[in-house]
Amino acid sequence: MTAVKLDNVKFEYSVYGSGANRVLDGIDLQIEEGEFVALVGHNGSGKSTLAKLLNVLLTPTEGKISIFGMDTSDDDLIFEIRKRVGMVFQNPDNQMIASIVEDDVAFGPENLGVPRDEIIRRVDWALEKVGMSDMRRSTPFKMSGGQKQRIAIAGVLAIRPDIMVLDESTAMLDPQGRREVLSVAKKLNKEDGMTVILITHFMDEALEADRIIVMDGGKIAIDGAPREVFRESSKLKEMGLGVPIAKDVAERLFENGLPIDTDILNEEELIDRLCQLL
Amino acid sequence: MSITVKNLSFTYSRKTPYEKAALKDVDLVVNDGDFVGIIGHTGSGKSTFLQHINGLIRVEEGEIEVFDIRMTNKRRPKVDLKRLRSEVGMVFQYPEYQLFEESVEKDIAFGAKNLGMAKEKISDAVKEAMEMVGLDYETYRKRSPFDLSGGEKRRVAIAGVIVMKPKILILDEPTAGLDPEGKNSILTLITRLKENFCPTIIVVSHDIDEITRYATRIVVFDGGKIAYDVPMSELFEKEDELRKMGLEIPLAVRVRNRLRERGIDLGKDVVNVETLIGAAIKRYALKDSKTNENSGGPNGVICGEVQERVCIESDNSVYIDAGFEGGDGI
Repeated sequence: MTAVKLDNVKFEYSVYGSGANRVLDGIDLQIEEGEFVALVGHNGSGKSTLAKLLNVLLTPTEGKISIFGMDTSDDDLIFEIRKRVGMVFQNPDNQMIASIVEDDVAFGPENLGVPRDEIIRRVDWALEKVGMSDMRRSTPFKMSGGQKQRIAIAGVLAIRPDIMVLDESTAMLDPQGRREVLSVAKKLNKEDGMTVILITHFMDEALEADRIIVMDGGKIAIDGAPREVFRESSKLKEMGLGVPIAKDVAERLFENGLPIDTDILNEEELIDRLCQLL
Repeated sequence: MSITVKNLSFTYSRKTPYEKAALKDVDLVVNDGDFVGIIGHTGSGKSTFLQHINGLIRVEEGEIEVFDIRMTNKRRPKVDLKRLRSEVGMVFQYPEYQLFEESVEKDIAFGAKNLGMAKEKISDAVKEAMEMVGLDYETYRKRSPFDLSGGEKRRVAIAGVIVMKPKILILDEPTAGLDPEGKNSILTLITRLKENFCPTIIVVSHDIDEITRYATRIVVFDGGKIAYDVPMSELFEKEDELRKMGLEIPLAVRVRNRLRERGIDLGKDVVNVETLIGAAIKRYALKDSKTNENSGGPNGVICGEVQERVCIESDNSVYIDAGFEGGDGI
């Protein structure tokens, strides 16, 4: 089933005194249920606006968005859509609302009026999924960034969404925290078939997705599997983006006259190629 | 010598149940012109250490000398904190959160005013600092810092620190949270600052691939102590030890080490992407010339003979590789 569908979506912010500022300029996009999509683009390219449109924090100025067939501009469907689309944001400290982990995770379903027994089941399940069951009675405030983000993810999971949007949720974390969050996202996608939309600035993270969507100037510039997308490395660089480090190394070796195949993505492939060459 | 630290120890919440030793007997000398990268896991003591150098934490045990300013646990003679903070500029993590004034110009001038810079000098200093960080004075001076992009805000925040022309500049995770272009431009800015403005730079970073490209020296903190303060080529020989400390190894070093396990040694000087590329080019050229000597073929032409070669995978499985050029094997 189609999880997300955008038809010619435009979005404008009105700026006081200087008219409208168009951030999204005609987006057509379809994401199927169970896909793991990375959304990349430089600051101001429209990624976060797109994310906010998905769970109706914003509605499009023009065009139509449907989530599992539900139109986001229909006021009666807002809460149903928000139950389906969970969002995790950048700063872990801004997303904690309770002083005990399990209370924090229970906050969402409590608000939705879920019965007590069901809340307990959901909290257990959500904490299990993010690997934080042992910490359920601890306080989130003294935890590492990665742990806090996993709790934030659990809080979203407890609402039982079908789509998880991670809006630069790894940007403020150290390498270990980033790995933790990413592996939780991958696990949810692979084991539970959850549709994951990962917004990131780290190209090495985007590699983990099945599909990468590159945004530039409010439009979709490239859309494809990681290998296809990173083949366009000069185009990516023009848009102020990079390529994974391993690919960058291969390209620079090639520029220096080594007969190395530059169509690689990760470290293992680079090592194999170098092993043949040297 | 810019900074000399001797036997520095520090404990948070001393004599309470929450007592936590953050620094234990730290010794460090930073020379004029050093570009030091500090790495360490969260809680390893790096921030506590840096706050000492800027006089944000009073010395409890040991001593610190920054140029001729001496800090010990004695209350007298008083440390001239204003002078210390003019000499040592500190850019905190996400410094743009600290912007508060109504215009870029006023925000940058705030620190200079506080540290007692003469009024008539301030506007020239602000202008110079803005030009240094790449913000055009006339275009930006009247703008609100809150209307700027993330990268621009960070530049304003950095300008607010370098306006005092500190001889030592400390930056805590200066590129965190920026997009690739924003990262590059901040790193270029730091390099430029080092050349023209603040000769000694200390950067804390979690991004090991990035820090090894810029720093000339890496200091590793672990458990409140300096675990390693050795040349990078030596440091990255300790892959297992660094991993145990929860630290990353640069991709270039990982590639070097895996190749070494397969019998290809690119040498110990591989510490970042640049040195990896250099070493690979050199090795390839050497091998190329050998191949040509053996086959007597003209320079640069790979002879047609395809040789099967054995490669050992990292999981110790072995595969046969039909290489496209005749190699001398591994």
